[in-house]
Amino acid sequence: MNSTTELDHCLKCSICQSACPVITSASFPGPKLLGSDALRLLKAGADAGAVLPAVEACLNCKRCELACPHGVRITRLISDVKERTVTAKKHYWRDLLLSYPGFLGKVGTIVPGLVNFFLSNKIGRKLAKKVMSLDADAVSNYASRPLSRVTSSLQAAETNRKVVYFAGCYANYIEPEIGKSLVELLGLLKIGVVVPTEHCCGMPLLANGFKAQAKKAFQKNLKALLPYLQEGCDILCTCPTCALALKQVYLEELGTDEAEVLSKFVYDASEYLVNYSDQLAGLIKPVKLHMVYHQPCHTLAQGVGQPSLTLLKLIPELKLQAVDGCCGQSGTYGFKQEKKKISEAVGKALFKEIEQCAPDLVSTDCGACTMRIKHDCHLDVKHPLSVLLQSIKTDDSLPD
Amino acid sequence: MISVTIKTGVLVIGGGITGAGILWDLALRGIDAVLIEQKEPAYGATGRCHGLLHGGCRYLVKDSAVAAECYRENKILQSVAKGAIENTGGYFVQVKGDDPGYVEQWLNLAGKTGIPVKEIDIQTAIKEEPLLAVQNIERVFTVPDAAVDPFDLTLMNLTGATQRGAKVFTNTRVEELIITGNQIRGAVVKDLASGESYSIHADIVVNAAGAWAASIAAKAGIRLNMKYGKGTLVVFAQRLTKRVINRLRKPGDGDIIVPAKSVCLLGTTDIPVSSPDDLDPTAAEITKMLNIGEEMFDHLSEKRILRTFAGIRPLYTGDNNNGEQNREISRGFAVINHEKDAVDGFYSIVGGKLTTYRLMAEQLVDVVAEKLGVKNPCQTAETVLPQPVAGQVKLAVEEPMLCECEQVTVQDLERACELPFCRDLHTIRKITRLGLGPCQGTFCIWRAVMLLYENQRISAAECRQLLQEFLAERGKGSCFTLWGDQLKQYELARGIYLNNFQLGDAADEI
Ligand SMILES: Cc1cc2nc3c(=O)[nH]c(=O)nc-3n(C[C@H](O)[C@H](O)[C@H](O)COP(=O)(O)OP(=O)(O)OC[C@H]3O[C@@H](n4cnc5c(N)ncnc54)[C@H](O)[C@@H]3O)c2cc1C
Ligand code: SF4
Ligand code: SF4
Repeated sequence: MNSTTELDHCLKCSICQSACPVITSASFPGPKLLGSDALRLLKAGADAGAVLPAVEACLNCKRCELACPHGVRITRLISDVKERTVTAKKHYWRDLLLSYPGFLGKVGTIVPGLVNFFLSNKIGRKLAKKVMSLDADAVSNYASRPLSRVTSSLQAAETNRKVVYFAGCYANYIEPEIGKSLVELLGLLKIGVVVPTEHCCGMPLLANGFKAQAKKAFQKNLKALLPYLQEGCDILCTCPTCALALKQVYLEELGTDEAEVLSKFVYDASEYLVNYSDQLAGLIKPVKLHMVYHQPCHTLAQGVGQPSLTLLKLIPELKLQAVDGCCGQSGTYGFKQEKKKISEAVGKALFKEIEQCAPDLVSTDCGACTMRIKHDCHLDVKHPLSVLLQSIKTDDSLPD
Repeated sequence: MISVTIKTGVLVIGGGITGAGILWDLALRGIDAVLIEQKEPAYGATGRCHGLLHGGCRYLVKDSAVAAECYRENKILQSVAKGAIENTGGYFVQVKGDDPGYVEQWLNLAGKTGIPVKEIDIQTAIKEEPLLAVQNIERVFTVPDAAVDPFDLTLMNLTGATQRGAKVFTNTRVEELIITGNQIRGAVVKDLASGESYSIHADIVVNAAGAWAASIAAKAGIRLNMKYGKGTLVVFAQRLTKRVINRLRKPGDGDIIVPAKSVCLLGTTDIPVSSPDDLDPTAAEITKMLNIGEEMFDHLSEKRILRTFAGIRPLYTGDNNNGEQNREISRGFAVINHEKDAVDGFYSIVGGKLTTYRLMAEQLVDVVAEKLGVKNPCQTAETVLPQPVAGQVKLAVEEPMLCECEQVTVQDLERACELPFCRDLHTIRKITRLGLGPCQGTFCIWRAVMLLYENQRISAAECRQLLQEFLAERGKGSCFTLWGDQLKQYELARGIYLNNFQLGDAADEI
């Protein structure tokens, strides 16, 4: 369905409005207005400047889309509106740079010491604030070795089948441990893993309005993944945003047959592993900890239920509580100075809920949520697969 | 009972574009005038037309003098009526199977008439207008067409005139003409809101009642030979093209798309009818137009349709009524001085087009001014009309909103209510575009009605009546195109109005 048809599809009921976390936290016109209404009027020549700050405040959390009773792909429309307003952006260059986490990641992991030092140092943070309008207090630490260099040494020799792991920027450059955990878990299940050369999934570009560049990124990844699809390999993602992109967004935006094939072979890693619950349960040892699981918006948006929670429930003696709500980070959104207030307002309720649980640690699938929760709740945050693997390897070893 | 009497120089009957243009012209020449409109401004053909500000190309082959006239007027209006016009430009598209002989003749006449027409390559055209059915297109030409909002244009003329002292009475019907001997003296009119009748005394009476002109003339015992052609239009929920797109062949049904602010209109048909009040579109007309439209536009009939409506083309057949096919009758206009019918001071203006309204008004007022001994020349070609008060395409994200689809704010509504001739919800909707978007009033009409009540502009009983009228009208406008998303939208509206507002007794009207 192209966006012209999509926009005709909206019945103006405003149900999406009540699901939007930004509306309830700040003055924000909401998904209906920024989606079908704005796109329709922009096509008729309305001044794009009037919606620019508002549309930039959308987190792309997709909660509106889940709520819409008529199945309107609202964020698809919003991304069209963002595209139409992108050249008027105040922070055009900063946003473009932030939309290439792959590039940033490469720099960050090649010279992690330097970048991390720069950002942990007072002058560096001030500079980031001044020059880039970035809130460097919240920016992440880069890993010392990217995942691709770690996993090549990890491929299981004796395997029943082979899957592709699309790691995404976060597992690649910031927390390679996630990727390692997945590869090890699959190894235990005798499933081989290939980690192809990949580019950023492109979602940051799309969310920031750079649609043309985003589509290029989609095409590149599609091309890289195509040979594996032809072999019949499933594709696994540990990042919910990457999974959502590959499952849904590439197809929506590109509309090609290849994108459609791809959409059918992509799994959230936990969604995939749930099928092996029995085998995994046999390996898992009890863990005496109190943990909160936070479901990221983009896992919710995939419509696969809560597979990570299902996996975590396999761990005996783990005291598990689940929380719901958007953390407000949305990729690099929460780092942007001018978004800081909204981001904090959105996340407040969630952080309060987590703090009230007073857990030993938090688990969530999404890198952006991880960074935000670590920063705001001062708690350790781990990917569910890392937790799972550690429960297999040792008992009572968490957090280390 | 006739209570008050108003005195004026010229009484203009009809608040369509012709009457409004005449009032503005009179006001600019300093002639005291009053305009009477039975419903709201642009109620007739004006508010039901296609909104194409002709560049003339459609009439080249049929009548190149009319074509040249359109082109000239188009340019004048683009400078004096900017607020109502979007200079979209236009394409003329030759579709496979269309007569190439016609195209050659058309091109030749364009050259002779001096209307700028330029061929462009199909790829460029498709890139600009992706709706074009690439597999069917033979040749594409750019032409100087534009889109005009007929409501805005009418309201701008009325506003300009009232600012210069003219008076406008809407919702007021001319009941009788007052004639003593051979001399017209004015008219008896009835305020349809209060039911009160009064007389207006005037030296001159101008009959600009469009399709109803014959019935006004009949009040003076004069017979005007008129024919009526019904034209139906289909309104799509969004703007599907950037510019006006015409089929390049002998003018026929369903061969033009005109963008109109946030929507676009496909039209029209031309079906002979016997009365100017025969305004109902038929399912057959709509199906036919969509089928023809599909030849030029991809998947056109799958696009969401908001409503359909029809207008009447009043065609003056002069003194010889020889029963030709309707589209063959001249689109030119006639100024008739009824002195020839033994009524002095009474004039009718019939026929014409929206595009040429200014010229029509000029020619009529020239005659009237001469009769009154007024020497001031016409100034409408140079004097810029006031801007419309609301209704422009905008995104007003910060303001309290009544109608979200068309971004009508509370302030827009209040501004519209302040206009002297704005007396009802119809006029408010025409001024502001309230309820004209995809939800078709599902969420805004009741908000607006409540605001009007809160501001003490209407009573509680009127609230209910307005809502019921709105629902009935909406049902009429959409009944032939209720499928897909618009059907669901309609059901949602019914749910809200009939259940939530307990307007259940309106159910049999819709
Ligand atoms: C379907 C269709 C499409 C068209 N498309 C175009 C186009 O794209 N471009 C173009 O240039 N032209 C177009 N036209 C032509 C154009 O609409 C008309 O030429 C023009 O609007 C006529 O305006 P008018 O003021 O003469 O008549 P009207 O707009 O009909 O005005 C007459 C007014 O007189 C009022 N009236 C009648 N009786 C009384 C009474 N007793 N007392 C008080 N008031 C009374 C009526 O209520 C009405 O408002 C189209 C016409 C039709 C029907
Ligand atoms: S996008 Fe969906 S939920 Fe939102 S107004 Fe439209 S139909 Fe309703
Ligand atoms: S994606 Fe999230 S933030 Fe954006 S409009 Fe929808 S609900 Fe609101």
